[in-house]
Amino acid sequence: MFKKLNPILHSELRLAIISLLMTNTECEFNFLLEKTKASKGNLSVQLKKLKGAKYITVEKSFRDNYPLTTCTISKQGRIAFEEYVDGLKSFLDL
Amino acid sequence: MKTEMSTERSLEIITLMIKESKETYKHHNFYFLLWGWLMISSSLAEYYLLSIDYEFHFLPWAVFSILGGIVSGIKGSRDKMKHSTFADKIISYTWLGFVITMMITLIAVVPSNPNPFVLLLAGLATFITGGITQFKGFIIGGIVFWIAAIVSFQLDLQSSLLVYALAMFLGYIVPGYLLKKS
Repeated sequence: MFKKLNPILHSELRLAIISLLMTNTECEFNFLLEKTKASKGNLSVQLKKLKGAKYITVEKSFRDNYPLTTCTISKQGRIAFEEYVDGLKSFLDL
Repeated sequence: MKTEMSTERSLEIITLMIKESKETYKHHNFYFLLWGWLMISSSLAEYYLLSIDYEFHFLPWAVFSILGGIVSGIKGSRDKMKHSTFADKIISYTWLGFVITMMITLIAVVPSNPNPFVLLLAGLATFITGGITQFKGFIIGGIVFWIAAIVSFQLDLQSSLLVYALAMFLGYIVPGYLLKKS
C-alpha cells in the first residue's frame, strides 16, 4: 500500500532545503539561496513554512554588522524526511 | 521552483542537494601547512639549542605554539562558513581532543622525552582526518607519525627531534601541499 507523501515536504524547494539540512549540521540563508537557486522571497516563505511545521529552527544573529540567518533541522524534521523517503520508496517500489 | 512534482523528481532533488553539500575539505590544508612548518621550526630550533647546552631549550615550542594558536584563531574567525557538515564537526572535535590530550601528556611526561607521545597522538588525529576526508595523504601521514613514534621511543630527546621534524614534513607538509594542489 502506498504511503501518503507529506505535503509539507512534497514541494521542490522545501524538499531541497530539508535535503541540504539533512546533510549539514547548519546552513546559512545565503548557502541555501545559492544551492537551491531560489529567490530570496520564495526561500524566506518556504523557510517560514518549515519552521511553522517545527521541521527546522531558524536563528537570527549578526556577523560583521550584517544580519545572519542560520537554519538547523529539528528532530521532527529528520523524522518527517525519513518518512517521506520511505513513502517515495513505496511509490517507486524500491 | 514548482510545488507539484513526481516521485522521480523528488528523488532527483534529494540526490542533487546531497551532492551539492559535499565538501572539498581543501580549506583544511592551511592548518596542516601552518602547524607543520611551525612544528618543524620548533623541533629544529630545540635541536640546535640542546646542541649548545642552552638551559631553556624548550622555549621555541612555546613561542611557535602561541604564534600558531593566534594565526589559527584569526584564520578560523575570518573563514566565513556558509554551512557546516557533520564531518567538519568531527574533525574539529578530533583536533580539539588532540590538543587537550597533548597538553595533559606534556604535563605528565615532562621532563622526559614527550616527542613519541605527541607523535602517537598526531598520528591518531591525522589518521582520523584522512579517513573522514577520504584523503589518502593524511591516512598515510597518520601511519608515518605512528612509525616515527615507535622509532622515537628508542631515541634520546635530541635525536628524536630530528625524527619529529621529518615526520612533520611527511605527515603534515607533504599531504598539505598535495591537498592544496588537488
